[in-house]
Amino acid sequence: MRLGDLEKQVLQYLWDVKSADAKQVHTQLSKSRGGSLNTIQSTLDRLFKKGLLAREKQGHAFQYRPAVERYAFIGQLIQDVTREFVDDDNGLVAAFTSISSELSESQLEQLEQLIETQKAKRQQGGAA
Amino acid sequence: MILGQAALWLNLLTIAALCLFVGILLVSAAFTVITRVPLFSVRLSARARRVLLWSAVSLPWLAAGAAATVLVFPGVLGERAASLAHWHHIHAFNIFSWHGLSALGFLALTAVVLVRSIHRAYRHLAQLRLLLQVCEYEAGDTTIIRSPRAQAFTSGLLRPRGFYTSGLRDGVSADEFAVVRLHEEAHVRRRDPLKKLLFALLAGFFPGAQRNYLNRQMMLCMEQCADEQVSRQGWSETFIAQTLLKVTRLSNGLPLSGLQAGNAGSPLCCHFALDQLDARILYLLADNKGRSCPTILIGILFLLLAASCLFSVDALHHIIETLFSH
Repeated sequence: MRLGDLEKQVLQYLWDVKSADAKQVHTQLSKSRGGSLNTIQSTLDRLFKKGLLAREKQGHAFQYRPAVERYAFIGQLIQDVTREFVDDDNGLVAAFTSISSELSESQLEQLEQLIETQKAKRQQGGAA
Repeated sequence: MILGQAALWLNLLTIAALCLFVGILLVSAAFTVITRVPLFSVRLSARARRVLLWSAVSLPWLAAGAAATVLVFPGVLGERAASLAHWHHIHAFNIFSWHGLSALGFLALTAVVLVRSIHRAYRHLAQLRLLLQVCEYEAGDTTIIRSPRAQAFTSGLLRPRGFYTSGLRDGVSADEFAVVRLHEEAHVRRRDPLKKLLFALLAGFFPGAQRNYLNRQMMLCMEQCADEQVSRQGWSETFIAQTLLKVTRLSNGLPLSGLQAGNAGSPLCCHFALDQLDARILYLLADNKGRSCPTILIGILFLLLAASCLFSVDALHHIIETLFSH
């Protein structure tokens, strides 16, 4: 997914205000970057089609709100960037740890136990 | 029929393609035997494995190049050896023959692997650009992305950078964060993302199972080498292992959003991740890190591979021409 500058600004604005119609978005963004109401309307429509905004009709106008929370979206982007650990063996990042939701707690505990044993062994070795 | 210098180059390409095919087949067979027969498994250090993995993907190319060059100038082999390894009508090339098919097949495969790698790099950089556009930073000497997800990674091909989330920084102690930073800085210094791309490009010529094995092993070696770098800076291996475990716990502790759940559900990836975590922690804790890889071994492997390519290509030539018409 790619986002243009305006799309990004609209998304940031809606994350801040939670909900707005095209006129409100235009009023806010035209202060800093200009542009017509039509441009804002088509940007909102594009973001809606990308699944990033939800909308409902109120009177004659659509009221837009973010379909995904800011941090959930950023979390998804981080996951996309570090995808190799999920479904792509040839990813191009080097991550400190893997992303996986299904590492069993008992297996992690076993590893923790192993670390503690080794730590104690090395401390004994150092003291001797 | 193409004659003269052009035919020589096209024959050279065909020979190199056949030699590469033989070389990759031999390396794949060797890896299959080594991974399945415990008798052949030798404990090697991460650095040695890294050298061997690079050799595995690059030696078939070097051996193919050497064998093709020798076949074009058979005089260097001596009369006896030249009778075993030679190429007929080196100055004539028919594009509508199996020679032409081999050369075109090789060029097509190379194009596919190249396009796939370029697409992967482009897609990755686009995702990174989007992340950097949308996320909020915290100023400082490290790039902290404001996100409750605990994650640290290095990305960027020509100018790699380490990225850390605020969730990670806030969830670990200052010492633990220093370990994570040193680990990522080791990746940055070694330009690991770019090396991964190049390695994946070369490994792309291997069959699927071998390709995945090679890529996973290289990824593991890179992580283990980065862990070793942290250890060389004075941090104890047990502390690094504990930090690794803690960051893994933090990363997994957050409930996945609806958007993420689909991607993370693969059982394959979880085993894979677990293998990596296991392997890294066990390697960190091991008193004996394994043997190193002598340079002479790589030289011997190259000579063996080049000789195998050289002498099998003529046999392959005759088998194909016995089974099919020229």
